[in-house]
Amino acid sequence: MSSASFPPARLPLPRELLLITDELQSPADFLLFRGVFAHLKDTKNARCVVASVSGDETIWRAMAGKMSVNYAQCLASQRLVYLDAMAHADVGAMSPSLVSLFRALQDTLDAQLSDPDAPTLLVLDDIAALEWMGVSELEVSRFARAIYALCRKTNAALILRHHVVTPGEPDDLLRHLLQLCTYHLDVFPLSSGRSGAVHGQIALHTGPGVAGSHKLITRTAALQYRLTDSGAVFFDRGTGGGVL
Amino acid sequence: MPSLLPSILASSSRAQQQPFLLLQSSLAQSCLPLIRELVRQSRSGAPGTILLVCLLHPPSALADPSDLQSEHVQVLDWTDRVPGYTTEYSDPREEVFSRVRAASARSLTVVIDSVDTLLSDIGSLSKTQQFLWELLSIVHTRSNPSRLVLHVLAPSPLIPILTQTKFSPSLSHVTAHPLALLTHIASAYLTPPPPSSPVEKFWRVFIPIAERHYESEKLVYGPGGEGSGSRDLVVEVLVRGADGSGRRRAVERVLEGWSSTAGPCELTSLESLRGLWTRKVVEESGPDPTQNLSFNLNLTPEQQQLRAQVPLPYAHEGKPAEQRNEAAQGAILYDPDSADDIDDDDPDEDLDI
Repeated sequence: MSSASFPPARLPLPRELLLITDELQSPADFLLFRGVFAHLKDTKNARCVVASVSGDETIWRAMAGKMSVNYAQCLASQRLVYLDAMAHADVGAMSPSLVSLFRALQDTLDAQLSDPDAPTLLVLDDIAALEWMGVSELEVSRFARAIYALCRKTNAALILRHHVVTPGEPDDLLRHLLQLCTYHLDVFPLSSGRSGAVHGQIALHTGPGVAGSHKLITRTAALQYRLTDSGAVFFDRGTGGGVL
Repeated sequence: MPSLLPSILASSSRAQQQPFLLLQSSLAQSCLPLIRELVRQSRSGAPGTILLVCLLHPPSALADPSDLQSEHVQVLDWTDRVPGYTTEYSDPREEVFSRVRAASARSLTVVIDSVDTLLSDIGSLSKTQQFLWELLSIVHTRSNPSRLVLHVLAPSPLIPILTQTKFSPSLSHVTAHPLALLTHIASAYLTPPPPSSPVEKFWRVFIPIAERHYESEKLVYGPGGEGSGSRDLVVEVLVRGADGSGRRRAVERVLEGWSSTAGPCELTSLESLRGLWTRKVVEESGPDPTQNLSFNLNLTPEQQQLRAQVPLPYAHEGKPAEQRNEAAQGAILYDPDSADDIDDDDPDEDLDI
C-alpha cells in the first residue's frame, strides 16, 4: 500500500471492529484523533461516541482545534458524545463488573440511531486499562463481545484501542480481541527506539475469516510515521528523505 | 496421492464416512476460510441443510453474503448472547438440540463456530463435553448422512477430549498452521516439507514443534514476524477411520496447502513456499589453483609413462618377497668406516681386557 493512501478511508465500516494496538514507545493517540475527527468531517450528520477509560477530555478538545473541528458545537449538537467510562464502570466492588458501562453505551447508541446517512462511530479508549484496574480477563472479553454485538445491531463502527505490554507475546485479552476484530492496526516502535525523524511503524492486518477489501501491510513491510502538530505523516521505509 | 482437503470440505459424500469434522485454528493462523468454503460447497452437490451456529464470529466472517441468504443455510446468530450482558441469557444447549431435531430430513451439517466460547459460557468442561457428545449422537442417528463440524481455537482443554476415539471413532481433524512454521523448520532444522525430505523424518520434526503453540505464535508475532492475517495457510489433515472407498485405514496424516485465491492446493503450489523446493547446490570446491598459471604443470605422455614405472616404496609392504632373487635371507651387510679396525684373524684383539 502506498503511504499516500494510508490510512484507508473507509476503515472501519459500520458493523466492523477496528482493533488498534500500540506500545509504550509508540502510542496510537494520533490514529484515534484522526479516526474520530475525519469521521465527523466526512459526513455532515456523522456521529461519534468516545468512551474514555484513562484519558482526558481536554486533550480531545485541543486536538479538535488543531484538526479544525468545532468541538463545542459537536458536543452541543450531540454529534459527539464524550463518555467518561470510569463514571459508569463498577470497578470498586469485590468482583468488578462492566455491565453498567455496557448499559450506558447501549443507551447512547440506541439514542444515536445510526443509518447510512448518519453513520455512528464508537471509540473505546482503551480496553487494556479495564483489565489493569482489576476486572477479570473473562469479564473484559465478554464485555468486548457484547460491545461488538451491540455495534453490529445498531450499525455502528467500533474502534477499540489496546495497549500491548508484552510485545511479541499476545496476552490473553489480546488473543480474544484478535479473534473478534475485522481489522487490526498494529502500531509498534522501531527496534532501535524512537528517532527524531521516525516515531514508529504501522502495519495493517485482517482478523480471522475476513475476506477484506483493504490492502494489507505486514510488519516486515510496515509503513513508518512521524507525528506532526495535527496528526502524522506516513512514508515507506527508507523514503524518509521526502518528508524530512 | 489425491488431496484429502477438497473431499473433506465437499458435502454429502464425505459425511457418510466422516460424521465428525474438527477444525482447529490457533492465534498464529485461523482456518475460518475453510468454513467459508464448506458453506459455499453446500450449494453445489447433493441437497442438504447447513445449520450455522454463531457464538463468537459474526455470520459475515463465516460465509459469503450470497450463501448466508440461501435457503440451504440456516444461521443462528447468537453473538449477542453474552452471559451477564444479555438481559435474558438462555443456555444455548437446549435450543441447539431442538433446532437439530426439527431440521428437515435431508442431510444436515451442523457447524458450531467456536466451541471454546461455548465452553467459556457454559463454564464447565464436563457439561460441554456431554453436550457435544449428545449432539454428535443426534447427528449420527439421523436418517440421512449428516455431519457435525466444530471449530476450536487452540490451546483449548476441549481438543484432547474431542480427538479421542471415545468421543468419535472416526475423525477428520484439520489444523491450520502459518507458512512461517514451515520456512522456520526448513531453515532452522534443515527439514523442508515433503517431497523435499522423507515423510517420516519430517513428521518427527514437525509434530513436536507444531504442538508447541507458542513457537508458532512467536514466529508470527515476534520480532521478524509478519503479523497475523495471512491469507495462504498450511493445513495439516488427519483422518481416522474408513474413507470413501471402504478401505479401512488407521490414521492418515498429510500436509496440504490453502491458497486465498485457489482454495485447497498442493504445498508446492503455494507462492510463499516456493523457496523451499529449489535445492541450492552449495559449491564446495574453491577456485582451482592450477588454472591460469604462467608455467606448465602438465606432463607429456612419455613423462606419464616413466612416472607410472616408478615403484612405490611401501606399495608391497606385508606381502612375501617371492619375486626377489636374494640368496642370503637376513644377511647383515656392513661397510666399515675409517675408525674401524677390521682384522679378520682376531676380531677381538683391539679390546683392552
